[in-house]
Amino acid sequence: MTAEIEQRPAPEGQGGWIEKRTGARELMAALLHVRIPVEARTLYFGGIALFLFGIQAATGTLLALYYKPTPDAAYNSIVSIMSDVSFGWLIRSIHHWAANLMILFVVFHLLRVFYQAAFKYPRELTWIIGVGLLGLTMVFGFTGYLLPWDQRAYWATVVGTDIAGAVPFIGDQLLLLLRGGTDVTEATLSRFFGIHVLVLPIALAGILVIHLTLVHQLGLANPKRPDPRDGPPQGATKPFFPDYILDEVIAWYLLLAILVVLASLFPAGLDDPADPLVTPEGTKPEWYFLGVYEFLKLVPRTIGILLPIVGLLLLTVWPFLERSPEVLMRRRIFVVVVATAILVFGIALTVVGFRS
Amino acid sequence: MIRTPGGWDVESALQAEVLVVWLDDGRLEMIGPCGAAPWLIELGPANHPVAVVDRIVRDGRDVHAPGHGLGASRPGDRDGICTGSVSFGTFPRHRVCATLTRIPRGRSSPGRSQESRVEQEPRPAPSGDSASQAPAPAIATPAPVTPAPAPRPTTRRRFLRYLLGFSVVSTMALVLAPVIAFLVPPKTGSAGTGGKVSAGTLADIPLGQGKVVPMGSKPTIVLNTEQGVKAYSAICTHLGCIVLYDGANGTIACPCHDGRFNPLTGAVVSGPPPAPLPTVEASVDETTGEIFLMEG
Repeated sequence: MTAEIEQRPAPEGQGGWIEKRTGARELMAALLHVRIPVEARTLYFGGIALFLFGIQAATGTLLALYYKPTPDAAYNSIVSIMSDVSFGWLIRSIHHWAANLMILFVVFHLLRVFYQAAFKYPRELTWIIGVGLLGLTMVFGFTGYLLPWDQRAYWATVVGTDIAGAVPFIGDQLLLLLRGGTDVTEATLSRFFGIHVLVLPIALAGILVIHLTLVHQLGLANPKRPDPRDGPPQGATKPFFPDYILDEVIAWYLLLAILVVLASLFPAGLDDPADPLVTPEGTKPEWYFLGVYEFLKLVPRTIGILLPIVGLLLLTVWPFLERSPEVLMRRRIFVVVVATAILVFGIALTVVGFRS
Repeated sequence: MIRTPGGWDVESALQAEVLVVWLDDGRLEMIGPCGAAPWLIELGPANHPVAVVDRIVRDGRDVHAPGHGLGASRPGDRDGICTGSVSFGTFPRHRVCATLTRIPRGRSSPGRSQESRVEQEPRPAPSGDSASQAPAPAIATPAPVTPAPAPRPTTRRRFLRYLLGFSVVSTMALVLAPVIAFLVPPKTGSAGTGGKVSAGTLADIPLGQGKVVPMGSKPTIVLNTEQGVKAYSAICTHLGCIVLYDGANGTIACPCHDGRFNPLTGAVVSGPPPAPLPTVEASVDETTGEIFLMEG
């Protein structure tokens, strides 16, 4: 028996027209009105990375209106964006800074999930997809770096693709595939541009939807206790909306301010136009590849390339390697110490790379 | 997601009673949402009382005008359905409050049966506008309310709402202004500097012939007629195609829709063009025979 309630149709003018044609209210309620554990501490890193991706999509679309992806025109189109187009310097500099911050916050997000053991049952797939998103973000950075076609961009790409070419067995093919030929040429620029503005945005957006769907379906992890294998999670909860969302939006707002300040004080630079005949001194990749770059100086080439790849694979399948249900750091002290040691080593390599 | 306080096990059909609680000179008064009578809502055993009542109270927010029944029924109208009743008190919105008819009911014990419950917090997870309805007080035991000065309960709320709206709008403006400025193309700098532009010599254009030459970025048709050199904008005034000289007809013709112009005046002879071709000032250097067009 159900309640017989003669309800007046939703009044026009209060979203009634749209509501009747979309059912959006129910959808929004299903998306927003979920509950999260009161102990959950995400530090808003994932949401910030999402926000930065939005910034990149918006500013990138704007830049694509003026950018010309050919070696003859690319550099001058950047000069034109920086000096002729109104607010071109701002849009490009925000794109530059948001790219760096996006990688930073995706890494922070990964570290947070790792240290809180939020990747454990039932969130193993969310983790794997998340590592994939980190990979895509880094490829975003790598392909975008070439587009200004200045000396720094050109030679960082030469070095970067060269490292890929040293991968055992598939290196030569990989190099050809990446460069679209044996050298970094206009074919490389076309390729990187196409990957950067078409392939990666669609791929990242699609995988992001899966990632977010899983987060929505599984809820936030409780860093104090593991999810029980049978039955729903226990413990006190609080509403996701508006409590959590409000904090997240405040974080976004702050980040927007930080981006504008960074872009204004430290606008994106531009070197001399790319010259395939002159390698400038101190050619370095972007900071997020600097650790691997520096590592290559210390160890034989094959090891220097294979070890990061093996590390990335281990990271991807980590939820299936660390199988204990423990989530508290003091009960997984070995894993935490080893991971922290690797992290410190990576940071140290990056710092050394900066100084050299 | 509704969280029930302890003891909310609904086993059979139930009747919910909805009242509006308000202060009248410091006295707690209760009336129905649309007049003196409370709403009585019949609930099936499968319905969550708090969820259903909350939804109706939300949707009925502007149902203060009489005539919008919400399935209200008197006890006994449907025998066999109502086996118990639950009372809900709700605070109306400020706007609604002003329009409520003041019919004090003075109900001191709305719960009438064993099954009556007092809902301390009948609201689900808050949503955007839910703050407009304060949690219902425990109306079963209306404690004496201390007299308060005429309250203006929404002043601060409204101020904050305006502040939020202002912040959102100004943020949007701050973001959109650079974006719109970015979209406006920068001036190319090559356009119309004014001055003379060479269009070849008389030898290039025999008498009774015409030729389209570029003048800056604007195509211009130059004609060598018996009345001297004439020049016009070569952009058809109809839809912007480039005209050419049709020697056989002795007219300037547009290839798109066969518009025809007079080669001596630029006036429309036939066809769809709405206006004559604009004249371009042309001069010929007598010694060299070079044709100059005056740009700008």
